Amino acid sequence: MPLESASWKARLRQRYERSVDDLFRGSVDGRVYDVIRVAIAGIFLVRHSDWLRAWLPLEHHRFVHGLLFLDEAPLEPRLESPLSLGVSLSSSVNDLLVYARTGLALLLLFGVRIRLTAGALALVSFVLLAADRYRYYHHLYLLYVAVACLALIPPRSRYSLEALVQGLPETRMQPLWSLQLIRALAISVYLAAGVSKLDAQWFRGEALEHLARLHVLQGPVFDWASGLVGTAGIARAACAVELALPALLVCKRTRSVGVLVAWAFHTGISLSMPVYTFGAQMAVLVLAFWPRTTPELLVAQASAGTELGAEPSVLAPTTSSGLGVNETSP
Amino acid sequence: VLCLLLAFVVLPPFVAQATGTVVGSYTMFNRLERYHIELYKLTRGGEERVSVRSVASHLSPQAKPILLPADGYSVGADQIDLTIAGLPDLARLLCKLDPKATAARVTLTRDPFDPSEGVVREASATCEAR
Repeated sequence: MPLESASWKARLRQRYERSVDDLFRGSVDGRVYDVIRVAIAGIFLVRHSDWLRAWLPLEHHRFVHGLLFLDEAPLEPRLESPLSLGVSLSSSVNDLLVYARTGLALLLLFGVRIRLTAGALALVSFVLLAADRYRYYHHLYLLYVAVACLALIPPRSRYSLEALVQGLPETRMQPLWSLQLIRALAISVYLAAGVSKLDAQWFRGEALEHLARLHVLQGPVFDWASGLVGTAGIARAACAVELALPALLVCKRTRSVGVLVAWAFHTGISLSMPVYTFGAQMAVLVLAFWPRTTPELLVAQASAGTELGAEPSVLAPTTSSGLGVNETSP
Repeated sequence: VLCLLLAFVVLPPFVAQATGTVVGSYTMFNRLERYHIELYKLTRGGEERVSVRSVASHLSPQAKPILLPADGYSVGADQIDLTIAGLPDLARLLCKLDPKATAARVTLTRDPFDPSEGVVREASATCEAR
């Protein structure tokens, strides 16, 4: 009996390890990391400054003049209401962190010490957010979590200042595991947003009606959709899309469709209500689902000197990882 | 380690929603409510109402658009929950602003556009003698 139990446990453990391997093992064209890094860093800089004011009027330009959170200290005694950590920042420390944040975001954009820069940028951003509860917005929080995820992406990039100075990395293919984490982040956002809308008030379309009455929700896309299905219909459709997207994105066959649906969904939302950079952020995160992935062995051969430019799919059938998996799903 | 990282990425929004925490819950406009804030300070002369607008210059630029309209009735979503957790801080600000105040009280009334379903939250602070 103990022997049976031991073998049962061993089988379970083996199955678990295999599942984890299937989830994280593999390689992907490293350019996806470059695109995501540059896009997230770009969005970060745009959202935290008014640098585009002259060319592209954005919602946050109404209240951001220069750099977000810089030189904003109100009259003393000021309202000190930290979101967490229990302390507010003095205005000099606050401003110092804002400058550090901007510098780190620029370094991340240009690809200098990617992991270190992204980690430090996420930390500084979270500290600034925690210093005042009224600074909290879901899209800012998500942006900082996305930056924190960038602290785990491969450190060598082909499109970076470091590559210019130190030379290109020897392989175009990069490990898949950190991309899987970015994919998981996107899925968790959709699921959480969808689950939170499983509510009678939401399904009746009341929240959307109030937003429309306040002129927060407006524009041709909203007018067309509300004329077609009403606010209750839009509310149900939004919830359905948020819950369906994870399934579409996880399933290999529907992944590309999922990415396109997500982009269309965020375009519609961004055209109808002020969500700041949220739509752009999600559009970048779902980009993580676009590239094809290949088994890890390919990377091993590649780094050992195999032709890197070869199409991974050509090699894939002969380089099975032994787990019967040629493509890794999140 | 990878499973732990995955859990750190995936679970926080669901934990936040389960515990009623706004931060990281990604609830995105799911529930709009009306809210109203009243500030009071207690002096020797009795309790006196303080308008939210009168403390405007002591608020951060991010706090102003959330707190100032609530002198009347404002509409919000997650920011209401964040504000409720910060009511004691507002009461302490009232104490700091008036050296003669012995106590301060802040109330936030919220309702889903139906006054009969209104919920009142209150926080108070005892002011240190100066």
